[in-house]
Amino acid sequence: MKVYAQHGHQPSDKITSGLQEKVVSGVIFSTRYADPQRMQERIAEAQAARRDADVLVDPEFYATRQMGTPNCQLGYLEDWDYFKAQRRRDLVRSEVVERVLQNTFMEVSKLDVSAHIAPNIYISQSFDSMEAGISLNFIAGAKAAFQDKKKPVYATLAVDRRTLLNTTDFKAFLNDLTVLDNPPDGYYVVVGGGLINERTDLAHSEVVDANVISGWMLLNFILSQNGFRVINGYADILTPFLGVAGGHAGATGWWSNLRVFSMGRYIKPEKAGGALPITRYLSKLLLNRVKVDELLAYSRVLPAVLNRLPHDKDYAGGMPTRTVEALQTWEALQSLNDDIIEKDVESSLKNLSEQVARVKAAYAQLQGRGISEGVETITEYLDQLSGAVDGFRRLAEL
Amino acid sequence: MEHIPSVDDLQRARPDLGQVEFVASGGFKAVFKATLRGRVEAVKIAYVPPDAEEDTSREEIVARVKREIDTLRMCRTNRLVSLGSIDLQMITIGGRDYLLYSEEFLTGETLRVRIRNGHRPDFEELVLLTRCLIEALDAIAQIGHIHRDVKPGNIVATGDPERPFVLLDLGIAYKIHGTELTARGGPPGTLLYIAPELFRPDYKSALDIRSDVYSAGVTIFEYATGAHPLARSGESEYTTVYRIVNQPPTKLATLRPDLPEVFCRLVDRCVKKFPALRYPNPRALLQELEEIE
Repeated sequence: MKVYAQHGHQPSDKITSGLQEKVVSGVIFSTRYADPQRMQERIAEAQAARRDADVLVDPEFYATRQMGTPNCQLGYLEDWDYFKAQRRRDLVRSEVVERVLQNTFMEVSKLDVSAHIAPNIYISQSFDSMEAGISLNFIAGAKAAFQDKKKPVYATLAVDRRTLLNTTDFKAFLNDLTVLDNPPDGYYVVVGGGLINERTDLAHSEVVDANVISGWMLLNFILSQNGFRVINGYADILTPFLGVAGGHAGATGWWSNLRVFSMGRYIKPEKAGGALPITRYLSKLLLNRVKVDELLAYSRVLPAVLNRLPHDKDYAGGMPTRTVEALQTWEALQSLNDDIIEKDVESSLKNLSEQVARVKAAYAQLQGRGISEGVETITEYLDQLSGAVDGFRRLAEL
Repeated sequence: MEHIPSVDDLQRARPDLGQVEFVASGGFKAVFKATLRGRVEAVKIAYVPPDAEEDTSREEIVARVKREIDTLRMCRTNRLVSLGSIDLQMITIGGRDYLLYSEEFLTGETLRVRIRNGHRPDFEELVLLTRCLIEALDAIAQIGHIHRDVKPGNIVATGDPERPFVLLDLGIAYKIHGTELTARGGPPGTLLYIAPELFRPDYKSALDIRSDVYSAGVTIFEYATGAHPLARSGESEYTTVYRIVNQPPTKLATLRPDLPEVFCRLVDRCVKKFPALRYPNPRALLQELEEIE
């Protein structure tokens, strides 16, 4: 399971450093944060940093849904020619879908990516909806429209978390998805957590729900079993979970809106500005991020809270830079993937269950030593993670 | 089949047939063994009711038989039974109408007979069966059809190394996106081998080759173990259907721990309840089988 950088606002040297250090294997650039010319430069920088980097560009066509919304913030998206809102009643016509696919390909094929991500709309409510039908048309047409024989084509599947909760409709959609005549080479999956505050961290996000995670895992499992590569955008700490289920890569970035996807990211928050989020450390043992002062306190009681990885040293001298924080996240995730994911799903699931049990034991130990801040939230978070593993087993008939 | 003609009546209607013997009868067809110009063939006849008879329409029977013959004609594989020298024709025997045609007569025994006799195949034989069966399904899938009645009773072990297992009876084969030819409402096939999704009221929208992959998996499992992965002897049909739809099947390795784990996993994957968890098509299964071989 590879870890990719999810490109966002203020990348500075984070992505290039991650690639140079090989804590990420690739990057998913966002057209929201770079116009066509700047994008080409970003891609060149990434390739210079690591020659074998997987470089992809998410066209974010699904964000056209927010065009015209008061307070929408689409960044550079409107500088791209393909990024034009289509009426839903037009998108039900397959020729309109084909045109969007072709227009996108015309523009993104000029970029020196290693694989293409084809556009799609966002499925907001249900897999038994007009949106789902349109989305399936986008997927079915992706391979034909992206006529680049040298590069794989990933179809976007962008869905709201709620779509994964109705398993009957979800499964019917998966049945259709796995028997397409001219399927893409893989899928770029984005699961949205609803209109939440962009700065909400993962442990508090709506995506952390046993049924949502198990559904996301099932999606990875079924698609990989059917021979497709699955790249998961905005996967963050869930990356190893999705890797256990067969995912090819998981991406995350440095701001919370790059760790959890939300359509709310395209709308300006009511209160602009505010303090920047506190720098944190991703602990493998805790499967969670902790503040730097917490890290110090916890590691005195429980030294295993530290990952014993190279970037630990950057936290020894106080507050690290944002770049270091991003590198530390990617380093920890890659290490978690290496620890947990094996060739067969049963062994990987066993490792994952043991990992979740270790996290519970670690928090119990911390609590026993009088460290109990946020214990209720953490307990709920861990219950959802372990519930997700059980739910996935059931859904995947393992 | 209703109104099976006697051997004598058939021979009177078709005096060119020699050494006629009754072999078996199914839902809407009967099979006779006969010699024709010195060659042994399986003569198949289907009773065609008058229009006035309710339940099964005349047109439906004719269309089903025609479809079976068309499917056999289009499939280019020796993993399926091949057509004989008598083309489809309508004949009247004792005042009743029948459709008549012939297929090659396969010598050997069905897997059903072997299972009943307690035959325990080794790994090599199971791989051979899987290959032959899946190649047959692949040929059917390539022309956009599905078989819908894969079961031990429809597979003949011939003893011929060129084609050791042959799949029979495409009587309820279905052309995806084609006209529905089983008008009775329930899912087609033989209960124990019907894929779980076909018990849903909207099963026609879920019909694809993965239903055949499921039936093939159950057949291979039963041949390997002598037991069905879900059904238990003596239970009611209702209970069996409940098990097929809701309960996890027995894993092959629990009953045949001597078989390689990868092969057991391959068969287990075929009998998953959710079609998307099975092999997407016969070719994907064959590819994995090649790695095992």
